[in-house]
Amino acid sequence: MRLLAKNDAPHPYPRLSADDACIFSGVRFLRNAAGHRFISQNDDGSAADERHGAKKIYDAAMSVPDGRFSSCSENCIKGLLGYLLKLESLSPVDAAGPGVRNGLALHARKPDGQFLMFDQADHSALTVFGRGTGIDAHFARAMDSLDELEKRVSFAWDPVLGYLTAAPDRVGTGMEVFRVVHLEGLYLIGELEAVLRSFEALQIGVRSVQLDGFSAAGHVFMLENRKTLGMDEREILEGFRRATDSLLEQELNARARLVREMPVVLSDSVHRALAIMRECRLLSSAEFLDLLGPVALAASLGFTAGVPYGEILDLFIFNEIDSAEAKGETPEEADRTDAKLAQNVHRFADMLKIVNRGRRSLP
Amino acid sequence: MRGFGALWYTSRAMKCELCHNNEAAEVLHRNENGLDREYYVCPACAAREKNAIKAAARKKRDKSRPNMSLTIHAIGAPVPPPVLDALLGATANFMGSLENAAMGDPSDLKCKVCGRSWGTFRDTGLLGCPACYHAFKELLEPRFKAMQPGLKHTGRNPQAAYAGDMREALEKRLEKAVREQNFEEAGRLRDELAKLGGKPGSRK
Repeated sequence: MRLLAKNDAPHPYPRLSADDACIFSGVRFLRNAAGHRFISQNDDGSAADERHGAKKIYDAAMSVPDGRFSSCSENCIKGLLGYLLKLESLSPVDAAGPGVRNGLALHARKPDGQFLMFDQADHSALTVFGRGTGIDAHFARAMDSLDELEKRVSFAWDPVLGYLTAAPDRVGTGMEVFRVVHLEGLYLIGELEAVLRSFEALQIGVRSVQLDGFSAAGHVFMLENRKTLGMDEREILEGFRRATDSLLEQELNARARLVREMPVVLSDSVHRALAIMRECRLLSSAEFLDLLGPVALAASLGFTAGVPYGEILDLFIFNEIDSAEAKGETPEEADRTDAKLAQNVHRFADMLKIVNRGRRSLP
Repeated sequence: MRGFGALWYTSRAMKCELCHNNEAAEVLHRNENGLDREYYVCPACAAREKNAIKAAARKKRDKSRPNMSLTIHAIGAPVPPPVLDALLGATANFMGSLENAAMGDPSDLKCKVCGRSWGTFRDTGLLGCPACYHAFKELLEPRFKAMQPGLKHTGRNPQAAYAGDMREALEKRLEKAVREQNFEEAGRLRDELAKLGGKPGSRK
């Protein structure tokens, strides 16, 4: 099959950076208040007397001066992302929807685009994250905030095991450092699975943000550290950064290779996706993310206009895949939801134009 | 491009082969008396089957391994290679048998503070309270050895914030003492700073 155009020209997009393939990154510290249960339920499913000490941590956060933490009624990660990014997405998530717990400490600080969040099912998590690959700034801010908190509240601690968490695989530092990456380039050149398997061998967790295993919708994955005990926080951060930087470099090389050697494959994926987006009448979120993958890839390479690249990446975050059953929808309701998404996607696809990039174009 | 068509088809049309009611979302592999059977099932049935197999396996663990294995993955996701699957299963069985040999059946072992049992932890992956770490110490240690690079915490500690503030205050007093040529006081302050550990001006 003579589809591939060989071309030995230098890298066509010197401006392509790791941030183009990394949707967001961050650092999380899992903490539980000392002397409290980790989880809010007893073994038999009944509610425990106290709510795993989250209130104690909340109160401590509230007493930190300079307004670093402030009360917020929305404790939903996707709602917070909406606040953080101020994006009107195709399917905005209602942060006050079911399952959202109110009244816990968190604060989004707009200028540097990071926020802190507390209270999850079995721990309180201090999360600092933002766009792009910059985990160092997030780490520094998280450590600074932990200093403030630890002056005001005691966390569950053991001199040998370190910070105690409900999940023993996080004991020690209780630290999770993560990057959410879009690996469409590696997928299209057929190297995604091999690369991700090598990652698992490095003890870096690979989680698909949607669906399972290496078949993530839109080929968006969350990479996170697995080691938390026996290494200090900086060592964990450095090891993770080294490993994920190399992955991002491979992804960028794959993108460049696609343009240079496989433009028809790239073009076919993008045009096929856009055609379905323009013509569909029912569209599930999972299918939409699959279609969005190659479109975002083309946008990162400068082949699209009309919608900023950052906003295209945000769509990965804002679309949640829940089966109709999980959302408690009847088949008719699910159809209505899918029809609404399809209509919104028509507008998105109409706004998005395929353009030439210098002398390059998608065949 | 990976099969969004297939995803569409399965999410629209396929019913669970067990309850024939809900939408199938997962593939369940059963090895029944040597025959490999594949069922397309809804999440509720998948969870129920998984729990039933786990419960049966736990009951029979002391006698013999059940002649049935179960793997679940999302529709469209690659099935793990059988060799890897078998290896993982064998490792889990081996660990389970070691666990049993060492402890008897530890499922009923409970934390005296919060009442969480080892069996519940095995099902949920979550401990109930800080005391669980002591109650299940022997059972948790092999897991740490397998997963973590060390068995002792070497990172940040709760005194760090306090020590940081303390160090800052002591350093200021030390500067003042040196400026005023109060060397006796300066020596004492230096000793106190040394006790706090870490580098000057740093917070671990």
